[in-house]
Amino acid sequence: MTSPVPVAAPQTPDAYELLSKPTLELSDAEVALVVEDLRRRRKAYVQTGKVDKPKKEKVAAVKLDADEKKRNTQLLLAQLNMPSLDSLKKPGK
Amino acid sequence: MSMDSDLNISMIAGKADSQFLPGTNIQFAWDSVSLTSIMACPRRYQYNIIFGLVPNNPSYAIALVFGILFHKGLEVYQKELAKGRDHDEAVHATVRYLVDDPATATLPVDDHIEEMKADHDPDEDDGIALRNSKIRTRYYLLRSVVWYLEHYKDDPCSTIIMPTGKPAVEVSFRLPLGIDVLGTPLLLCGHIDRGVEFNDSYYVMDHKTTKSLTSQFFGMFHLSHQLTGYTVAGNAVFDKPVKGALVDGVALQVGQVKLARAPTPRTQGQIKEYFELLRYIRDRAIEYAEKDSYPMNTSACYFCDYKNICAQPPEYRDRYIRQHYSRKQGWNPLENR
Repeated sequence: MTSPVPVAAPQTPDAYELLSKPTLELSDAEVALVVEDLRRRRKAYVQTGKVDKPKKEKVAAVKLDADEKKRNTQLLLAQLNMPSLDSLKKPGK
Repeated sequence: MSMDSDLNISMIAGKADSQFLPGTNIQFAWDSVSLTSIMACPRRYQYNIIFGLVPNNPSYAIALVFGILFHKGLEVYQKELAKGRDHDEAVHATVRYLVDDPATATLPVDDHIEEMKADHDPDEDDGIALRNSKIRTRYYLLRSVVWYLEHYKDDPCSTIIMPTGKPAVEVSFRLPLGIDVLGTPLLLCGHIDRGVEFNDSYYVMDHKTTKSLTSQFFGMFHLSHQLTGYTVAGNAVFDKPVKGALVDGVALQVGQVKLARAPTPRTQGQIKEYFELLRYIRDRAIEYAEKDSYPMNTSACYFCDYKNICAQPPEYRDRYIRQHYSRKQGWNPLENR
């Protein structure tokens, strides 16, 4: 027996997405979606006091640790045929 | 408070005439924009009203378009209600109207704001215009209109029905006040957002968008010559004893829209003072035009759109204007809206 394939819930475009369309040509159904979404957001704001956040949060940039930064720098210098940073250090340092 | 009954009120229609006496720069048709301009600084008045200079700055255009569309949205809603539509139908018709208005598509979306941020030179300007543009995107326009209409669904203020049978919404007026400008009647012109009845009193309502609703914000309208003029006009246009103005505050914030109203009444004494002010301004405007000399008021520069022109040495100003400003038809109080 095969396991059921998960089906994603249909993604309804929200007011923010619809109003960000370059041409802004919306059907009557899309205008209705804009109204309903804006009403829903207001209701949520009035009931919970939480501010409206229409914009999707950007995925935070991956932070590199010091070793990864050093490795990337060495790779870049190698591509440019330049001496490594370590070879430039004075002896004993 | 009552106005003379024989005042000739003309409703604006068709192409606007000039607001100046023929062959001169002497203005006889005044509105709050031109009054504010000349009161703040004669040079600003010259650049703004006489020359019709408009800064080539996208943030300037965004603020103007946003304000016009916000007012238009509330006007459409009231007119739909007056046609007998219910609240839901009127809200849908309003959103449909705004989405279809080509001006709405000229408002930015967040990607445009990011581009403006990238292009912003902190040495060139202080970024106030950019920050104001951030909350004047298409989304924020539609959100502010829909949240406003939902908030005032059961509005305690009812719209005055004018003698013509039409609702008193976005009423344009030209009103002779019995003041003479070199033989021509001075006309007070303007656009009243809405005439309302509230608690058995009549008011002119004026929508004001802002960043936050404070007592300081509402307090500044007690001295507003615009709202005094609208009170005078409301008496005549609505044929009702208008008590003053209702400031309809709309705070545009990133995460919310805050709404509050406050009355700002006017007494007969204040109306009298307003007429004295108009006569004083008329005299100054004639004097500046006859001498062709519009002095700078350098204590009123901070929020001025023209301060960078004045900051140039006089010999460089023409070139600076050509590079940074467009010469439009100019602000005209007689223009139809």
